[in-house]
Amino acid sequence: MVVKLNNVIKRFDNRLALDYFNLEIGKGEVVGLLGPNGAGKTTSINAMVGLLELDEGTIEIFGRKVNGASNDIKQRIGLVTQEVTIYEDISAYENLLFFGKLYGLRGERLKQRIEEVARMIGLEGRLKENPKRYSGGMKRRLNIGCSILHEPELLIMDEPTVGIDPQSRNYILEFVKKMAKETDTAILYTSHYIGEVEAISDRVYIVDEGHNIASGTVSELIGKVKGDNHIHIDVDQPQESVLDDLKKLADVKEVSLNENRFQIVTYAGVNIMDKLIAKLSPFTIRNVRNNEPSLEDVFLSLTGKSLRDGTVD
Amino acid sequence: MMVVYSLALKRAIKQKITLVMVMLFPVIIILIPPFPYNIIPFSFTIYGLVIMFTAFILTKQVLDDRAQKTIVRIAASPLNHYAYVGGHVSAYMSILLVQVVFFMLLAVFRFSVSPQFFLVSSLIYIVFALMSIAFSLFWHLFFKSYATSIAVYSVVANIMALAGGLTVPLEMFPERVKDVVVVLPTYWFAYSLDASYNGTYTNIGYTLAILAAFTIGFFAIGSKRSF
Amino acid sequence: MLRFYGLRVLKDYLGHVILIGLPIFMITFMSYINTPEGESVAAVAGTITIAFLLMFHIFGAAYTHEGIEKDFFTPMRMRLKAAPVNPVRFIVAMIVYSVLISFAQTLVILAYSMVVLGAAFQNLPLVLLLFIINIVFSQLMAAVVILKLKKAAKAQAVMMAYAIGGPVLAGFMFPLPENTFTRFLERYSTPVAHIRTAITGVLNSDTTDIVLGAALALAFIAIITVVLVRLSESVKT
Repeated sequence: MVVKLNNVIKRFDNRLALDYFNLEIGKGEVVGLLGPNGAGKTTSINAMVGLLELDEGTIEIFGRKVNGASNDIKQRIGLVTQEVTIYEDISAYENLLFFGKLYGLRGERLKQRIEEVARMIGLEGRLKENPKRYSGGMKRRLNIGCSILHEPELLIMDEPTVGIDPQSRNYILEFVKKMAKETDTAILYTSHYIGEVEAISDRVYIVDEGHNIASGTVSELIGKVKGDNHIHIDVDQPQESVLDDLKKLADVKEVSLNENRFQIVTYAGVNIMDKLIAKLSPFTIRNVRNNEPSLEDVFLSLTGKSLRDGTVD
Repeated sequence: MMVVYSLALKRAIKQKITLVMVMLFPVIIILIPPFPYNIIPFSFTIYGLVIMFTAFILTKQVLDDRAQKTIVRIAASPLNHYAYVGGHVSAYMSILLVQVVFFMLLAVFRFSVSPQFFLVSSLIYIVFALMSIAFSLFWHLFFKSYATSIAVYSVVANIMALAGGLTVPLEMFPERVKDVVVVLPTYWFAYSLDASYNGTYTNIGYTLAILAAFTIGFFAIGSKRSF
Repeated sequence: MLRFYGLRVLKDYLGHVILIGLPIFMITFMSYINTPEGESVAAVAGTITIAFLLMFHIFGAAYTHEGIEKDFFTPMRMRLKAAPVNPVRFIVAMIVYSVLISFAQTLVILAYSMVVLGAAFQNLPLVLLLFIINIVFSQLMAAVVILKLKKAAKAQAVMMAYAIGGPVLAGFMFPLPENTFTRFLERYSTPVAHIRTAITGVLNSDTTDIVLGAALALAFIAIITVVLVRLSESVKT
């Protein structure tokens, strides 16, 4: 294992930020970390990079126990920060030069790596420009570039695709998959875009209130809620009065109406489509869909749908 | 417009620097010892620089609205743009009026100024305050970020103050220099204050009209909507 | 790596315009204002240049202030602290290059004053040394203020208060009332007053003033360095 967090506890004043938190990342593996705001994702990243000390538990990185800063360990880690942390008043090339030197690269080797990284992030030919002139996607790619110059064995990416165009997002996701596969880099990827995590992760940890509430491969996690069928039926001019009739049907777990769409959850292995259609026959049915659960369904069923950073009256 | 006025006033008062500029700086300025010669005490002219910076800091809201794109949301609403500008300007003038009154009351205690000087110089300060707001709005049009705007403004305002006779008495200026600096509104401000202090009120109307012309000119450009 | 900090400071073109252009304008203007018609400005240009340079050294401390603010009080902090480098090195690099650039700006302004205005400076090497002391103190003070207050707006307010208050108390802006207290303030109130005392000593060939002024300023530098070393520990965590 490249990274092993074992029952980590971290408190800030009275607040438990990490509560018996466990995580493992192997070589060449992409591990997704999902969680609502305030779940402990950034705290766990800070702990791994040595930016804070633990109250209890252990962190092993590259087989060594660490607690707090260690330059040897930092040398082998690349951190892609959530915010774009580059210097916008100097050129992209100068940014790469600076961050490369921070990690001990020098001379010809540094120049070579800058050229390689520029190709990897799709910015070759644009390095002389100031990042001020870049689009959001380009800035994000440069942000990543500054973190991989030194060929880290562990790459931590904290929401690297926030606020960028679909092309740049796709480019970054392809880049992450390629990097893990070709260079055996262990990658920790956090994001609020569940679809991204689903697309690239070998394993996923779902965290909430400082501890992991589920972990496994994407299919393993989906299997946890695979017991339910999600059926969507779109009709014209629906009426709420029919909801009660639908709820009374056997094997129906949940029914809701969202504009023109009846959303029905039934138990697995049950086929009551004919009964549902019969109940809805007074309406003109436009579309019927039997949805397989997604990672988003897993996430929402485990963490709930209520807002975490405010309430709506 | 009242909606904008009260919002602008609230936002301005919430900034701690507003209180410092309105209440503290006039006190510091009034304590500056007067020149030993019989010319207008330094406090009166340097207060003009305080007005300029106070106006600049107050108008930051307008630049922020543009930088943060709030102006787009406002523009999409039924609010007329001139009501938006008018509301802000009225709010800032209300605050500057408080500052002027406070400063003049301090001046009465410190320098025992005559009632005529009190009235005339208050009027000069009020017109200059309006001109400063107009100039600040005009200035902000050329910048996207407040940090850059104030950095360059600090230079320009200091040059205008120095060359216009706010930080160095006009009496010390050679005639050839005075011929050049008449293009600056700060010169006319210092000139009118000087004349008022010396009891020469005949030209005050003329100088106030020049300041008003500067104000109108800066407003004409500065009040334009810009995204 | 240090070179990078020099590049950051060097590329602040607006800063150069403000910190070279504005003093040159003010020195020129004040020299002409204070010279009767028909006479050469050279007689007063030297003294006026020294006064403005001492003031603008304090404004030049903005390089250190803004550099540390960007590196340690924005999300950039995480990236830098995740690097295998002692974070204190960044602070040292910022201060070193800010001092160098501020001194270079001083040389440009001095050159203008000597070549264009005809100012003459007695014992120029000693005056330059005293300028360096003033620059070093200003940059160190900016570092201490931002690290202590942690908020850019508050730190800027403190530096602005020193930038205005220091020269006022030293008697640069306008003559203070004549009494023992104000004479004490003009000579000993702040490091900028100390350097002014020392430079006045150079101009008047008064060794006591030179030694006293320089020693006091260096003592302040020693104190503020100790404070800075302690505060620098906070950036490691």
